[in-house]
Amino acid sequence: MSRRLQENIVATVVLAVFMAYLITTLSFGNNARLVPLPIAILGIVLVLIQLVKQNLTEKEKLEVNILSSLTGIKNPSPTEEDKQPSTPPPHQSRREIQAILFVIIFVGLILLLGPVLAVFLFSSGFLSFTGHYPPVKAIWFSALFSVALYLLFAVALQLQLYHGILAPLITP
Amino acid sequence: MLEAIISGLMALATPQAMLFMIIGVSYGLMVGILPGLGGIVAIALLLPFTYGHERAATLALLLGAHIATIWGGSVTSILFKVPGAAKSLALVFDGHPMTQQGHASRALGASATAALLGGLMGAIFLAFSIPIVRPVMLALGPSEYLMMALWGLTIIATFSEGSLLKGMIATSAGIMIAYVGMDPVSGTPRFWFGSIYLLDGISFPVAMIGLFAVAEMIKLFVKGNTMIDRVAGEEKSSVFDGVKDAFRHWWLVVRSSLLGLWVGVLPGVGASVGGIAAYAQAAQTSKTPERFGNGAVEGVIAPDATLGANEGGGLMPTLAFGIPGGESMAILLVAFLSMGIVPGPQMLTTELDLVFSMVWIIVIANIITTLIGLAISSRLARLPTLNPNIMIPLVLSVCLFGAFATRGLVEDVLVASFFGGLGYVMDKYQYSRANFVIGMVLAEMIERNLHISLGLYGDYFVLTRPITLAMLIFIIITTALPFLRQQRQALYKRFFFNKKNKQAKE
Repeated sequence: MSRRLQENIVATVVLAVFMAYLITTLSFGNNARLVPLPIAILGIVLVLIQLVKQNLTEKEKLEVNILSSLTGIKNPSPTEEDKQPSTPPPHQSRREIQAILFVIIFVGLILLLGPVLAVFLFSSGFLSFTGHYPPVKAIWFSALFSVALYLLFAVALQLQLYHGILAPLITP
Repeated sequence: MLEAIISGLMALATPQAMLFMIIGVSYGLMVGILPGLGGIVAIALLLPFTYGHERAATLALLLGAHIATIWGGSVTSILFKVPGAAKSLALVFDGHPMTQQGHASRALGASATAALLGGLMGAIFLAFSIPIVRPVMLALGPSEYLMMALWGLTIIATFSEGSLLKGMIATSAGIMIAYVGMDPVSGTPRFWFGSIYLLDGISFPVAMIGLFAVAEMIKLFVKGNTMIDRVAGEEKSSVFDGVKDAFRHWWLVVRSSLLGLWVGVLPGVGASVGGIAAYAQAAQTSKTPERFGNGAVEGVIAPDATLGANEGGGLMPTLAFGIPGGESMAILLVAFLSMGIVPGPQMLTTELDLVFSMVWIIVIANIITTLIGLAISSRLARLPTLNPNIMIPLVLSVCLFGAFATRGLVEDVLVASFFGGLGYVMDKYQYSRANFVIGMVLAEMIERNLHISLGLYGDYFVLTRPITLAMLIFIIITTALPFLRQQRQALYKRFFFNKKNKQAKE
């Protein structure tokens, strides 16, 4: 998918949100819509201009040497580090999906089991999955971390913890 | 005034305040040194811990952490060529070449000392600006505050990184989100879709945690958990050479600090702009500009002095007018509001001792940061690697646990993760998150002051109040200027291009 298409999808979604906002605003009284209504209209106008602009104008070359443009000094001779080709990270969209899945799984675990157990399961799973620690070490590390968070939030800050949707099924 | 200065200091003399200050500074240094996590993430993660403590102690924790992240962010720029935050970018230009030449300790020493001197100047500025600003603030009415908020919004968009239009869209979206929940004026429920949870509105701290901290973790994972490695060579200079450098270039420190103060005071202009501008003025005013980019210590001193001074400057509009000086000030403002500290005239009248507590916190936190920084610089200079891989589950856990802790509602976890995804998309497609946050923060101020102005001065209050009218004209001019300049440049380019083409044909 080209960058322009991605940009168009994002702008269209933003436009749809602003339009839904505008329609909802119309059902409010005069006082309640005094600021939201013009903001919705302004948002729609701005997104439309953005859509036109990004489709009709050529994308300007943004890669400028900040150092040279600021100081007027010619770029100093590149180091060995700079000479290495900068390759974009491979499989970016796959990693994006993975990242979003991780967050969804983590949130799902919190909803089902509560934050303490969720932190333990997520951390140990993540550290094992990425190969940062071997599974046993990952479990130990995650257990210690979960206990630390429990002590911080539940004991020190006296937060009433949420036990998850599954808690009534497990506890007698 | 003297009484407020003393009581401001005395409020920090409690064991809790001192302990919180040390915790805040140590935590801020740690977060700052970790690449990808900057002051915004540090404050966002602290938001759940701001309830139920002494106010001065909580401020010591928040401001201490915030100040320490500034120098922490400089460390990764100097050692690893990876800016800890956007504002530390300018330190890469000369800081990293110094490291490559074996002067990492010297660069870190100069950086810490310049940040301290800049920070002290920022604190002095904040203290001295109070008696000057106070009569102005007391003379302003709600309609002028409304104009100031609108000016804040437009100037944010003008100075936002990347596209101006996208910046303005992000600001509008931020304002839009702020209006979810009960309308404070008419009591009308807005955008609640039948959900009692949404009736309370979107919690600012939860949204901040998502937008910045969760989004940064997603970004870090997508990047591929890059290991940051370097070969730590032999050190050819010491930390104290850097300290001496900062004092030797005292005039550069003063100039850069003044620049930092100015950038801080301007609403919406973040420290990112300040660091780069400081570097540029240091290079342009140097007698040997050719050394810049090749490891000139002045290239480290100038941005750090600016970043240090920026905080004092940024706190002034944040506290006095409720208009944040930049994205980090916007998050601090959210924290202040959640602590019951409402910016405005009362900050400089009834709450003056609290403001002076903040001045003292800036001074003390800067001194502690520099002392710790100088003590650990020689060890940091030999640091071979930073592995952000382990950060993802740890920070993500603290984020979502923290989101839950802000109000004890599990729905906040869902909202934080939603804003995490939103923050990632915004960052990827360059819709400024800073603008979004500042829009969110200023939305309430705009609506409240608009309603009060209409009630007090009638429908045509803009025309009947000369200062308000003058401010509106000023807003229109400052907003239109960048567009006009852009048009003029485009016309000039077209004219120049046509002329060149004609000449080529002839």
